[in-house]
Amino acid sequence: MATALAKVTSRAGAPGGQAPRRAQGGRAQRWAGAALTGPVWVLLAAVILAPLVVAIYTSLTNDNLAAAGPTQFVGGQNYHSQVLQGSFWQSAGITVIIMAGSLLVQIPVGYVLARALLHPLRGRAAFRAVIALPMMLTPVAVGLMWRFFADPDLGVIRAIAAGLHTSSNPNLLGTPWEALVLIVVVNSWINIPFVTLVLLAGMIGIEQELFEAAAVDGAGWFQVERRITIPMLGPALAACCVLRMAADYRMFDLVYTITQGGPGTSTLNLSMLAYQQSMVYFEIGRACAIAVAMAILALPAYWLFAKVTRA
Amino acid sequence: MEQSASAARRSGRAARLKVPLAVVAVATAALGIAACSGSGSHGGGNSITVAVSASPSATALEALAPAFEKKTGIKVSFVNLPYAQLAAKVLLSSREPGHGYDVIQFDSPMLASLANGGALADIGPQARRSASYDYADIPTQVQQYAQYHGTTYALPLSTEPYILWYNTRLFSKLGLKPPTTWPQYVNDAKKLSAAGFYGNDSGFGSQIGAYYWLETIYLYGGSLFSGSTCTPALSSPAAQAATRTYLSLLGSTPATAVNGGGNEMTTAFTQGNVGQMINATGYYSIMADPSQSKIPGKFAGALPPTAGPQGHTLLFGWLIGIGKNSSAPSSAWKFLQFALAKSNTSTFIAKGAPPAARTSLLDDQAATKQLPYLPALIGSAKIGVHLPYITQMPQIITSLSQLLSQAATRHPAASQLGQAANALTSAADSSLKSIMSGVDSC
Repeated sequence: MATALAKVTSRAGAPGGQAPRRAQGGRAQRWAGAALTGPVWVLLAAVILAPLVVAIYTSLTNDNLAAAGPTQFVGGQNYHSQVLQGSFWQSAGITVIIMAGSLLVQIPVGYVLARALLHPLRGRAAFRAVIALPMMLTPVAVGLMWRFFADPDLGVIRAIAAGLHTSSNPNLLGTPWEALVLIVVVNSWINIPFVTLVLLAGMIGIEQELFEAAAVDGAGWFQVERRITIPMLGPALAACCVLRMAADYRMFDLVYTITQGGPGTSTLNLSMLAYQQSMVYFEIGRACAIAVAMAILALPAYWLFAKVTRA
Repeated sequence: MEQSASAARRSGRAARLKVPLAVVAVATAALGIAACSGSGSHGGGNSITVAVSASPSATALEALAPAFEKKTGIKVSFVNLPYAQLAAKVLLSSREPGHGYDVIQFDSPMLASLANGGALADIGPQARRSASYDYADIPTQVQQYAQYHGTTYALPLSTEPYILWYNTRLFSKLGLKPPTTWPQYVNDAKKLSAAGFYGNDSGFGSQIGAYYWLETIYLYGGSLFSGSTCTPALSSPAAQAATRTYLSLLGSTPATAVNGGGNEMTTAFTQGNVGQMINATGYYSIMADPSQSKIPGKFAGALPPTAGPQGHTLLFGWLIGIGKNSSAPSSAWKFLQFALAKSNTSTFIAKGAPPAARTSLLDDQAATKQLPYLPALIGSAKIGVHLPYITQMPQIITSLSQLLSQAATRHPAASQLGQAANALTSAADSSLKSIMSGVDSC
């Protein structure tokens, strides 16, 4: 026993002997770790840090693809003209409306569908597959499909209106609020499956005993949802909301294919605004200023995301 | 013994470390090689890369390539660029030496950006010298729309002025004649609407609707800027009158067209219940294609109505030039000279592509039989002008289109048309002033 204790003590604290060797080993392991993760850090720096630095620098210049002269440093001029004075805040408002509207549709519908899929029902597998289908489609294809549906002369909506013998000729793409609602509806149609699957996974993880105990105590449906399901789903719900908000914040494909920012500028969100500056006007400096401002504006969301994922 | 065990452990650890380190080294080297391998040059003297955008003109170029390859031994590769990204991609590629495309097909409104951005080479001297191309056969206005600040950066691949298209069946049914003045056009629109058809077909969309609005302004004798200055001229009496007329036609225009531009207008026209529209000749192949249209053989083209001799129609069309960074400019010119030779015009027509407006086409009976709108095309090209070639034009078109689209969503009543037109033109003038602030050359 004493021998064993001595051996333990010697290994744990005695100077000399094993300790320097372990320190050497620790250093070697640290070097090995650094060497092994090095390429990843280089890659991360190349694909995240370098573009970010370039974007910040470019936002401080008058870089224009169609300009003849050399690019010049203009300081905060792009931020002044594009973020403080331009249509940035109007587009930010449209972006927030799309984000909020989409969340208000996606989360409740996703929740109800997840709840329905939780219970054993006939054809559940097929139902799940059908529900997941929109998520598998390319947003550009979905956008073009819905643009055709919404065409006021040739689309399905016109056909439905004609079938209902109504004299109205709905032009969703030509009316500001209706175009905005259309974007929210299509965005929700694509992303409800994602929300459903995340919430379903969260619901499956809730211990069945809790529901059984609630049933024994005579809790009603609403109480079960309010006191058990929603609180237990908190992290999944929060992660879902943050992920959807982040995706909707930088949404481009749907707006581009369905409305192209119109009618007027009623659906011109921030990504579309940046696209216009870069790919249509070739004003790379201004586009970078908008992109950097978007990133700064999203910092609280990044913080929230980090907090939620840590939880 | 203890020492040797420790050494053995160290040796084992070292051996264990060597494997991942070797993997890391190989992976890093592979990444480096992969990254570097993308920077190779292309398009040597015996091969050229042609950037095209999906269109009948591009199809015709691709059809001509095998014969060119057989004749010269120069290999031709085509890169298809989406229209919306065409100019940006060409400009980006031209920033890297040795990476620019050799031959570039582009739309005429892109000329200023591409030429100013250093993406195009001056090909005027070769074009004028070429016997097979016959530069003199191209009308002066058409030559000019391929020039930027007096330098020929491209050749017309197609000439697509805006002309009047009308549905011959509907016109015959209602006893109408192709309008030559704007009051006649508006009157025809009213008669067509009263008979249950669409009397007009103009774009009001937020991306390119302004092209069609500006066409009306130019036909009325107005212009974007005053003379050759950069002073906005959309509040001129001619522009005001044109805008009032344009807005008055909103109610007799299919909603599909109201939401969009040329494509949507053409789609609506091909359904057979639209009486008339002013649109580019490039859409002829769609309108005449039975698989895409309900009106083949039931429509015709004519000169657009003008409000007097000062009226002009707008000239558009594909242009084709040589990249300034081309590593094979000589081969690129050989391809252009071969493809655009006067004798190859029939190939473009056969492929459904609108040909470049050559004066000699008027005497070509076979061509006129295939493209009945050719006299209207040549006639329009002669009274045609192009919008100012300035790099701010994409921003101007988007800004004006957004304002027009906003005005259209308000559906102004007949009694409010004057007020709506005033509001629209003054907002457009303000926007132009803001965009052109500090620019003195237009």
